Amino acid sequence: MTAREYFANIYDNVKSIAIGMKITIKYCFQKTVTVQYPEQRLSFAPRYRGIHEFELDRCIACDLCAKACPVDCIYIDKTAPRKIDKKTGKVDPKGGELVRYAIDYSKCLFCALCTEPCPTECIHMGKLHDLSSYSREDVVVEFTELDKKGQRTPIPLWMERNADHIPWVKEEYERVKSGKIATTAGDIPVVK
Amino acid sequence: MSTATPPVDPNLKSVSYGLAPGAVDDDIDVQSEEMLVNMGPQHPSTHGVLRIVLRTDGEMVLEAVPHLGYLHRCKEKIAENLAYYQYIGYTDRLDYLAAMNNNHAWSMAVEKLADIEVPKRAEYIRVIAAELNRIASHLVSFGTYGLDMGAFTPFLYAFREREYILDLFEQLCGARLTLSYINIGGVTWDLPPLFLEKLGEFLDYFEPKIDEYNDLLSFNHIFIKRTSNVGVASKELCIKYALSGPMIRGSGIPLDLRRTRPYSVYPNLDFDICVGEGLKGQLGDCWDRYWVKMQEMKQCIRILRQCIAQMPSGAFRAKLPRAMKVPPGEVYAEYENPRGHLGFYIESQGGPIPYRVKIRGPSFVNLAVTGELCKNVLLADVPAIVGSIDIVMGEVDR
Repeated sequence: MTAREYFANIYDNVKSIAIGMKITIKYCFQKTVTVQYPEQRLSFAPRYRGIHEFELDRCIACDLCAKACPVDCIYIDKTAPRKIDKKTGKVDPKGGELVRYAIDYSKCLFCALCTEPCPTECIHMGKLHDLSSYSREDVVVEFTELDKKGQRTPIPLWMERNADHIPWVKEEYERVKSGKIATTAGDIPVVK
Repeated sequence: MSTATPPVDPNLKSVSYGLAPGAVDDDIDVQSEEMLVNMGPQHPSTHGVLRIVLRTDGEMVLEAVPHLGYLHRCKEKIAENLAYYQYIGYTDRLDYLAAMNNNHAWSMAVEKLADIEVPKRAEYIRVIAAELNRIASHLVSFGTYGLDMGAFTPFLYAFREREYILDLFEQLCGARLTLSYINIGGVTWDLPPLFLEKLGEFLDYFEPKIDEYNDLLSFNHIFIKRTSNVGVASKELCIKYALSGPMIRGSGIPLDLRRTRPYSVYPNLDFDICVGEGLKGQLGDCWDRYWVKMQEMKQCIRILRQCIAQMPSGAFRAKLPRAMKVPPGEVYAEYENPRGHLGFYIESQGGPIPYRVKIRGPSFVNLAVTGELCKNVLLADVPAIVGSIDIVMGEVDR
């Protein structure tokens, strides 16, 4: 290597670093693109596929969702098929009983194939995305048990813990607790 | 004791680590300075759980053998037990950086088998989704390649733009990584309102960023020194190893299934096939492969702009019965993934589930050339070569 090449090499390195620094310094004075997660959060798209919301009083226990599931993570126990009362849009109490409706979230793919065949649209994808727990049993969500408490979707651990001091978590917590559904009609497009 | 032979550990000799016969010296610990080094499976620059056994002599790598199988999930066997539409969710997890492309390839294979006609609008939506995912995949490739070469900043910039694409996907189908959007007979949902406007906004935002990446990384002198003339794959080698995607285009062979065996609406779209030209060194080196990906992102933008302009109205999904019956027969559908040729071979004996599914994964085939490229290179060049092959282990092991 000649002395000329040696210094040309140094010049090239310094030049390319200067070009890079020009770009990075430009971004120093621009708005940040990240958010401070627990305090702030990004909003979800209307079609977001999170943990299911299940309306037990509209379910006719037809097993179509369990059959459509690629990983067989939906468990349904029933005494007999149920029927919908056309006047109220709710299930006729004279029919059979839905003993158990559970989804195993250690298996679930969140592919939304279970929501497509549902004739009464009683199962849909919610807006909660984080269901961590301390044991494997807790990952299996018993929706029939939740319905007795008036909930449509489980309350994740993080939500229970942060409901006191983070405003948006408190809002969500109260919504889930009162059994309100996150997705409004028309948000999730219907496939026919 | 009069015998002078030193005690030899019998286990030491029998371990060959998959190297060629004769490669391991019997008295390896006594006479030779060669050393076997395990790179991976938890090495940060192997992009997943790839393990490479290196035979090194000081800084020189004499031989490299990739070991696979740490992420094997029986994907092909699972397909034999699922209905065709149910397997879409599993194809997401093959090449998890390009889920749309995998969905598209699987749908195309099943449609070819069952002779289903897809509506025109669905085809355009599919191409939009697939090309967006190609950009996202190339962004990850570009960012992590910078990371391998010691440049951290481009990685953050690449992920900032990728986030934009993932937001678009979230509006499109509700998921960000495992998309399950493209379905047999079309797409699962129609475009959401104002999606095309948002996509146009993104393209306007993204196009100047590519030049920024080029200033930041592509033409950086240190980066060029690390990647040019390293891991040169000649044209003959590429054909011999059946490489595809940016690997073969980086060596100057214009092989792109979107053009050579066009599918979907690609015949209506105008775009260039990017090939390596040996700008910074020999033809087919790591920098050329990297450069092909950077150029392809610009072509993706061109394709997307044309799709926005040509978007027809109409149905977004063909009307199919829920329990779809597929006639007996066999089919092989090829697809241009961001990493190369993705092929699905399906054998059907009629009924709702396939009899056998074989997946031809581009990463798996491209990875085979590692041993050839990593001969007599420096140890620090191995991450450069493996990074430029751009593998996704989820697809290699399946």
